[in-house]
Amino acid sequence: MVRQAIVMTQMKSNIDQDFSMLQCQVAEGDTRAFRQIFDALFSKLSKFSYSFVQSKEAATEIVDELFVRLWTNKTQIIKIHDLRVYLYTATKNASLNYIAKKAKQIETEPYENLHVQIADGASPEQLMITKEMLQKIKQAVDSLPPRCKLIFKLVREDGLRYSEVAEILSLSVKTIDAQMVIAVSKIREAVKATIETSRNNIFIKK
Amino acid sequence: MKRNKIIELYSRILSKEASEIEEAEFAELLKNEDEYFFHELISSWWNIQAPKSAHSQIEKDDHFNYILSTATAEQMIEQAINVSSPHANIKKIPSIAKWSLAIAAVLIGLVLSFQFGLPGMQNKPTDKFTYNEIVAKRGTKSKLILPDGTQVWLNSESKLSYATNFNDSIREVTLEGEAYFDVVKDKNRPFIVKTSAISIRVLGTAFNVKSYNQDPTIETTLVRGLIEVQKNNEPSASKIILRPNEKLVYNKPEALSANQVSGINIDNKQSQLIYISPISKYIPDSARVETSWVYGRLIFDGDSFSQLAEKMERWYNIKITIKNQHLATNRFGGVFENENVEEALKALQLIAMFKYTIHDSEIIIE
Repeated sequence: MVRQAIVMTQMKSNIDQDFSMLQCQVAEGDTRAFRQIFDALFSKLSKFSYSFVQSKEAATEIVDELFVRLWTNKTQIIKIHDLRVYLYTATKNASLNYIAKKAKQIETEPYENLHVQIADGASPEQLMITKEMLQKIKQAVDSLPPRCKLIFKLVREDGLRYSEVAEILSLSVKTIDAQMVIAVSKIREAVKATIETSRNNIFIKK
Repeated sequence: MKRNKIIELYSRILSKEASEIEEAEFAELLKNEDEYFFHELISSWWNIQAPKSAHSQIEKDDHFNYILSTATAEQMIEQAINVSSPHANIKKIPSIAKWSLAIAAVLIGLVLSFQFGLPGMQNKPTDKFTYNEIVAKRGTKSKLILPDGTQVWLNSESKLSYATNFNDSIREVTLEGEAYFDVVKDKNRPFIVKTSAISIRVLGTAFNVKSYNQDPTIETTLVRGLIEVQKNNEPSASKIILRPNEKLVYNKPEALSANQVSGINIDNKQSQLIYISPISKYIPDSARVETSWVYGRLIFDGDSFSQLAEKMERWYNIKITIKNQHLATNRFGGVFENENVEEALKALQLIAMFKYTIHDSEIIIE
């Protein structure tokens, strides 16, 4: 399982997200390094798994199990080229297996029956944008088709590169790009609509 | 550029997937004010740091300890049961071993929870702040630089104050009087200017705020960037977004009702509590009524003599009394730059018939 080779398609520019140093430390049994990897990915992977299995308990169990295997086989961890992509892929596979087992059949349309939850994010107090705008954007994102929404979440919230998302979901980079264009155009429309309303509302009655 | 092309470019910019050529194309696109405006809003939303985790620190500690202890116990049992075959499948472990695995897991969990005990009980700084206050007296103007590098020009008879923890999370200042702000951009820490009735929230931008106690209005003029205006007493009400080259005027309710009582004829728009008026974008800042003071120019444009006198009082630190009521309603337009009071009055005498006398710092006009 851990020996699965992942081809690294793009050098990462973000040093924070580079796990190779931590992987070496984990291989030597460093629990603090393992904790850093865990902290960086546990919640994200749980949410990612939840998109498929739609049960919080099952999602957490899948991700727990994944980390247990990672620590059990820690001496092999340095062989993984891109740990992040590896863990997302493993989470996806385990989640799809879980659904298949539950439904006693193999899912043929794995990305059609998703339940993607978009993070609420900061309050408008912290932002340049208004509460109305925040709601409109959230509505726009929520009404995206499931696969588009999942891709959008992985790019914006999880900070993954197009190439990484493509690899995890076994899609082409071109598809990821096209889906992101759809998502961004909906958001733009939502912002535009809110501004129009804000303009019409300014003549506040005395 | 076609709309689709713009969005394609834009989605790559937001996702940090744009090539250098695309970034250059985008920079070109941002020169369009509307595009700049959209970019500011959407990217401010896009870059909100999503809550770090869906799990609490305690939940995470629990899971981490469970993972470590399960993994460690599995390895221990693996070794104990089948020394010769270290890669034995876990699923074949007999049930008695599973029990000891569970017990081992609990024990190790206990040890680990001491080792990884709950972090994050840091002492928060106390909520007692002291305030810095900067005052520009009548007849003077001052320029200051706030701890974050934001530049502020403070007009005559104005006061700016901010707490000593100004730089921490939200940059907030309180203004009485008039000031021009050139705010340093910081997406994570909004800059807020509080006046008596409205608050102005910005990211990075340049704008003017005029909020003198004795004035009937509070005004804010946006030079560039984006600001958001909100009434202090209605924090839940819709906020108003101001775009470059627009001026927002807030009529103080008491001034509005006074006008109605005195029967002064004001047009419909100006009788609103809040209205926005465009200002020409082709005039340089130094020549605009709203911002010229920053450049040491006192501009008046259609002001009545009494309004002008009020401005001059602040500008020159003098007291002006107009004894002729008819004269007080005469309207003037012009610019004072380097003139002293007497030169200014003499210039006014060229267009209006009046005499003046100076007693110390009081000027009487009749």
